[in-house]
Amino acid sequence: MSEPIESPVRMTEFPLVRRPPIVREGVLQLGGLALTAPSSGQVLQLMARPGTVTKSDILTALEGGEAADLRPAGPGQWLLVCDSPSAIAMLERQFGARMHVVDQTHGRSRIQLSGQNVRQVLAKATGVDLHPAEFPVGHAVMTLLGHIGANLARTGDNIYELLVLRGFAESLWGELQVMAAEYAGGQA
Amino acid sequence: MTSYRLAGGGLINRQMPQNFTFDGRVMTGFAGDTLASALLANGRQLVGRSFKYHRPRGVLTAGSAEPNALMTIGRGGRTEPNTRATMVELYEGLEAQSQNRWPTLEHDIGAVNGLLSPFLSAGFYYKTFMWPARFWEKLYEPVIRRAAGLGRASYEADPDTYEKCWAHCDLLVIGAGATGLMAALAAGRSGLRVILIDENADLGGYLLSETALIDGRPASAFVRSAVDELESLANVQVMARITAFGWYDGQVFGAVERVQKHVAVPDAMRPVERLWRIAAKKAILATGAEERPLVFGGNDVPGVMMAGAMRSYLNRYAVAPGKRVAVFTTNDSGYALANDLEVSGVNVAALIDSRRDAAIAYSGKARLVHGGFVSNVQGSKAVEGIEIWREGQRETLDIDSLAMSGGFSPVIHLACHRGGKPRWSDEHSAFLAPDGLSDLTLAGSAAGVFGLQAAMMSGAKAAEAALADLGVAHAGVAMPLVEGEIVPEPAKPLWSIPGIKAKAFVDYQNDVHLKDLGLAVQEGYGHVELAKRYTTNGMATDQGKLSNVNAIGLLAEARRISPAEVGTTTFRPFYTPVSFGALAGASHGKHFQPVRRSPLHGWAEKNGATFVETGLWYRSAWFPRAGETGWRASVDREVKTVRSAVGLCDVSMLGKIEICGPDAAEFLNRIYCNAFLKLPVGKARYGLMLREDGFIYDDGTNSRMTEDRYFMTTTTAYAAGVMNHLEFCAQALWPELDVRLASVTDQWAQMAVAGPKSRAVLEQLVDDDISNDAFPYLGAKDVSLLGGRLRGRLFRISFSGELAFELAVPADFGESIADAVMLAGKAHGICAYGVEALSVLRIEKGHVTHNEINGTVVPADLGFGKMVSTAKPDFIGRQMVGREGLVDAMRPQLVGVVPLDPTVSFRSGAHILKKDAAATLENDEGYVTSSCFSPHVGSTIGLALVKGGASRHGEEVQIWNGLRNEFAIGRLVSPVFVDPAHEKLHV
Repeated sequence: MSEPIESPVRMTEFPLVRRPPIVREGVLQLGGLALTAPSSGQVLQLMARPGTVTKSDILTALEGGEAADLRPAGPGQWLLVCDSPSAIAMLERQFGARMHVVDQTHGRSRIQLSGQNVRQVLAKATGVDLHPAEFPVGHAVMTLLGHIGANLARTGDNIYELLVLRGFAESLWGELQVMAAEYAGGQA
Repeated sequence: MTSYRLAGGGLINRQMPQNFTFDGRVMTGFAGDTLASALLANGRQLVGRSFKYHRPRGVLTAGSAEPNALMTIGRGGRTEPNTRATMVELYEGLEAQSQNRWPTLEHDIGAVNGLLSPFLSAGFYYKTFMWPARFWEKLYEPVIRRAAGLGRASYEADPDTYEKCWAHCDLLVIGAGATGLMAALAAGRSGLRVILIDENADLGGYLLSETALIDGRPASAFVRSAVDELESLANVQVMARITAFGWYDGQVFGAVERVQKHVAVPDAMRPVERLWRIAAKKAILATGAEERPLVFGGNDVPGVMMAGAMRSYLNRYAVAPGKRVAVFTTNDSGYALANDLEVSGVNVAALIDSRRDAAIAYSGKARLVHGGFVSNVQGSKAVEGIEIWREGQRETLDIDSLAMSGGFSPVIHLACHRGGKPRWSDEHSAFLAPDGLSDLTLAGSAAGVFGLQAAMMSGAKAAEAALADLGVAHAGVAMPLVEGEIVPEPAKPLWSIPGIKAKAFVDYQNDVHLKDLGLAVQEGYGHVELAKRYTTNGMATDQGKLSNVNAIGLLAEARRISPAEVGTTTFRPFYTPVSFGALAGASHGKHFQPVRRSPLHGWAEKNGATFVETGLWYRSAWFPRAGETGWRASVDREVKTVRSAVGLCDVSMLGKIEICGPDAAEFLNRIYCNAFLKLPVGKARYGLMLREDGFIYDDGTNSRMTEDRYFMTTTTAYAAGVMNHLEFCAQALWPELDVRLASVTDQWAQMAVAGPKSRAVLEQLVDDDISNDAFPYLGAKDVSLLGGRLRGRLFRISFSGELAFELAVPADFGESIADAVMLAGKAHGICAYGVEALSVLRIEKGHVTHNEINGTVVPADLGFGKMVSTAKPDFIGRQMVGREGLVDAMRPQLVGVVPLDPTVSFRSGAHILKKDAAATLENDEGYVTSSCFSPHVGSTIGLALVKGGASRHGEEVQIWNGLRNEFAIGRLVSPVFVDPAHEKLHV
């Protein structure tokens, strides 16, 4: 616990600490695989009646955000990864009852994978075909990684990002290290 | 004379000698050898003992169908029994042990079984061990179990790792022989994404054993340049040491890669085996054909070998089978062997061709016997001679090894894994793959196309067809020219051989011989599936790769029908044995299943929690303090603290679902059995969900946060199930409702702050007015925390029966806020409490969980009868909950139970009997669903489901635990032990 404060306490001064599930700063380099757990920004779940709102409607409302940040997550659903604190207000103003926004910033943990072995590591986790022709930059799917469900997006040439339920984040982080062990030369 | 290494030739690397041991004896082979070829090169022909009769056995094949040369490889946790020596690459330090012999391979006591063989025929066990029945469990089964089986598994843990992997391609080519290489070249050059796999370490298949020339060069040179080219293509993935073992729905192939089975000490960072799932748009099965043994007396004596295998050992491994060899064949392939043996300087004593009218020209030195048969082999641990039968005449011939070829069976296993039945072709004298396989094509000898040149064309053609189907232009491939091959055109099959005296084996691995099959037919087990079970033919680890077709042929002859009518047994994965390690992959030990962590896990840890696994979650069970003697002491203290002051419990793992949309209210009104349409914004309500059959599915609270947004909680166990149920209702039952669902379980850290001081504690954190007037019982709202630094959700709900709140905050802040609550509560005597105390508190209050909602109860059983709406037009379960049997007044109903003597205890699961009833299940009145020690009551208390229980309060009963022989006298009471007027909730 933090330093003892005598009662009655002025809780308005209590030091509020944010603790993401994966306690790691910077990059975990495992040979040809780099793992990071970005905790900045927001993750928003957008839900519309299938067929009533398009990806470009949303991007327009966001005043042209990066395409890769809007990740398909089911019929009429997206996961939006963005840095704009006003995104919720902006989207609610634009779409009203046509689309609902649920803040999942704390509910979904981001895990970024990059490096030359990234596809080989992911092939141990998911049955999704990650060949560049089948899975271009900006593409995203809901999939299973081993036993854990997650949203998998390709955010760059050799960069992929997972959005996983917070409670499973540590477990998945550990599984990915096991999968990368052969490229890490004993670092894992 | 025994087998030996030739002075020159072969594809082995004579610069790289490798030492290994067999039954402790040190031997030397070369890189490029298999264990089988190295043993033969060392003159070792006796390599194992058979399963039933402990007969001496030698190497029969040079591939994956090997039934005899089964060894135990490695030691300790790496011990691997029943490994086929023909598939094991030799490496320095390899340790191999023969199996099924004692004390030694040469002198085996178990061979006495051979003498008893008249009594050990097929069906022996079934007929013999039937009486007396009581002997079976105590005597017969243990003795048979001890005698049965081949190798012995290790009891030590496997030190190595395994993993699973996915691959995707346009075209999967299985088998990298002449056919597969050409198919991969044709497809690869045209730009398809190709995966070419082969179960051997070296690609090339039988090309590596051939003496025919390809484009004027040795076949092995062609293989090298083809593989080099394929490996240079970015769109082609070439994999060796990987066996495709099954073809599954969705055009997915299962395969196991032996990553590090050919090294003495595997690299710990890499798996030893990798299980692949290969999703292929198209696939070509270029798996070749298996040569058939011939069924004659003594066809299992070491030194008898398949002709093609003998040719492999000779040409590829430079191992001669002996000094004086005979070849017994039904087709032209025996001639190729005879020629090669002669070129290598091995004396071929006779070439016995069962055909009277063989057309093939032969100019070798061997004596050619047309229309002859080998009817018996002389010798037991080695071949000493053969008896040749020709036109009723017997003749003996001294030889030291014998090759046999009964024709070829296409390897079609994978093509039959999805339900298709093989079909017999008289033209091919073989079973071919079923018709109508849309995305799987067979090519080469797997398709009944024989000869290298024809196979290569067949492979290229199959690739062309795949290209056309996928709409990709064909880049063209020049056909190499094969010179000097002998094409083994299909010949009439030879099932029965005249003049047999000794045992003639059909299934080598399970010791099924000719007479066993005859007996099966005689006793009415002639159907192929029955014959298999009756005789065990085809049931061993090789699954009848060599034996099945001969068994079918023999059954056909015995029943005077065609093999087409006999048919085959069912082909199923796996093609060859797959280790459990590979099937488990990385999912063992702490990776057996994922762990789900609460955002308050760290808070619980630093408050000293003892954790309990509930599903994938780790929940804090109780928080022991110094001086407490056991879990009960901690739990009692936590319960008392909540009832008298305040406690904090992590309830983050309860399911949380946001339901949004203009029709959310209507949706929930149909989901729950109680009314939800008019729940005001800012209010929570307890809801009961029924199944379609009227029984309770799950319960929880639901709060209306805004006009079109609800926050539902579910039980921990049913969180995912409820989410699926809601999705099904929204998508399939009522698609017309505009409603959306989001799982927010992980978004919120949620803590129950319970006890009379809970408001005083929370007022220090929550900026909003949470007085009873401003925020009464069942209030729910967004609140500001810590001077506007954070937004959270506050619910005035209570599971304990005390004044209580649940506070939800964004998960990453959960630990910090829980710290703040503990700090704010310090002056009020706050404690952390776990699920055990939570459970005591709710039993005291008479609240139910899935202990009571166990799939057998309807709302009325739990006293919730009035919750079931009669006004709503419809909701799930409405039609069925009113059924006659579900409204019976004598149904088991929820009731409280206390012992008359407070020092006496009882357990959950104990049965309730009437006061004077005898302790029998006929007198059963119900059972205890939950029980605990209640600090409030001062004794054990329980909740129970008892027949008509609601009207039996005050009745004295017996509480009987028949499993532990425990009795207690108790009384049925109201299930609410604490604050029955519910006054505490409203202060």
